Amino acid sequence: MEALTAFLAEYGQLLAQGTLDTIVMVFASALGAYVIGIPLGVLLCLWAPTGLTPKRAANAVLGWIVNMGRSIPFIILILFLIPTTRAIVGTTLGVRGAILPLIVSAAPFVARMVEQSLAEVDAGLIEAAQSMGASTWQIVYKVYLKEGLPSLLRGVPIAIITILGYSAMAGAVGAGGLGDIAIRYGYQRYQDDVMIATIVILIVLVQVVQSVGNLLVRSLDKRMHA
Amino acid sequence: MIEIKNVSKTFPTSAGTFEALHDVSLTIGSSEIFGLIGESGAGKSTLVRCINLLERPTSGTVEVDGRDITNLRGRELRAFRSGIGMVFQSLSLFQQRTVLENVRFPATLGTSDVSRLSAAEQRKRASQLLEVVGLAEKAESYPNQLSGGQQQRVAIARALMTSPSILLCDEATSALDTLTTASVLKTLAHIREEMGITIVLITHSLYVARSICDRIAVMEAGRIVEQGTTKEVFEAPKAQITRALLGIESGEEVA
Repeated sequence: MEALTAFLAEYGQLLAQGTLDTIVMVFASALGAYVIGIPLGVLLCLWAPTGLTPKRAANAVLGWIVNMGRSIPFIILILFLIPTTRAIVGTTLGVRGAILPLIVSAAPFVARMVEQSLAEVDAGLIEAAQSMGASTWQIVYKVYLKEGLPSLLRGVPIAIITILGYSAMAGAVGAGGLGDIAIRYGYQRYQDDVMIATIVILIVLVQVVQSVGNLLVRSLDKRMHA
Repeated sequence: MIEIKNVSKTFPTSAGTFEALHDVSLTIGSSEIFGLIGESGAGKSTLVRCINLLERPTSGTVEVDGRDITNLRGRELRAFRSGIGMVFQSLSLFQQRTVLENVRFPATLGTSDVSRLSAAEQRKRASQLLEVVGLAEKAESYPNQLSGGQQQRVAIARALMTSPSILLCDEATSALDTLTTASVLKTLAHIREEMGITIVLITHSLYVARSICDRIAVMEAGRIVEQGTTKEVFEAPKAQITRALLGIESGEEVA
């Protein structure tokens, strides 16, 4: 107990700041990834060969870009993007410097998850909406996004937890946050207690994100009210 | 009135083209309940989908109330479609909307006169339609809280939201048991009486065809091989496929 008090006195401030940095970095990046990923996912779904408005060439190009984004390991992407990040954000360091590469890396992943969620919407509902005279845009927001919402929400914790993993790597190149602390204190200075503390915090974060996600899906999915 | 003139429809397949409809001509009168029967793959669904252009004929024309609709596109097509209700075999209610909002849905698309009503007036009309199909008390339920037959009656109410002149039913009762089918058919007969709507109904059930249709057409391999009043077709079937259909499904009655 005393040891814990002493540990917190020495590292509490550091860990609290690191946790806050991680949370800001991860949530801002997740938001950005969804802002880009949702429209891309919608287009992938609409342009697919069996989609509502099949566009072979455009779909192939978009799919290729998305796959390319997903095939670059994050640690390489963040280094590759350094000049771009510096030009747009002004710095490559700290939380601010990490958000852009995290968005670039997560957006294609989110796009594929959105595409998957929308593809699960029953084709019969799409045809029914068409038969009522719905336009493509109306079908997207009144049928695909509305009916796919529970599935889309189920993807959010997956995306956030994936980005959390990336953010630790960003820590290795100066982004701050828990990853940075784990590497500088836990690895480079052999401080196992700090290493364990960061792991415990990360585990708690993941559990909280997943539980809140489950709760949201349960309260919003109308199919579970029966 | 629906006039289908020399309509053919081919689909490209890996093994060449498949002709789903071959030179089909058919006239369906106003306020008629018209049945299309035949085995699966005979082209019934494709023919019905040509009426609201979910499928576009490869050749031939479709006229509705004297207007050639075969080449409608964009906004005009959507406005035309909103004047035709359709009920499907699969349960096609929006799972994330209440029963009332499902029925109101077509009015929210901005393509028909009901779209100009206020949201409150649209909801009022939707609850009146729910009364017509006998489900007023389910307005605030979600579709998965309803039985299959109830869901299908909601789908009928939804198809009526825009006051269509035509209702297309693609195997609307095929997934239902006998008793539920009877209640859905009663609902259909009732709305025809009330609203004078034309109903085109695909079915593989001779029971359905006999109990509700004024006239029937029998399809086989993309062609209409026989048509007439329900009485004529059942009492004096001419085409071999009709006799086969009758023989399989109600052998003792034919014998």
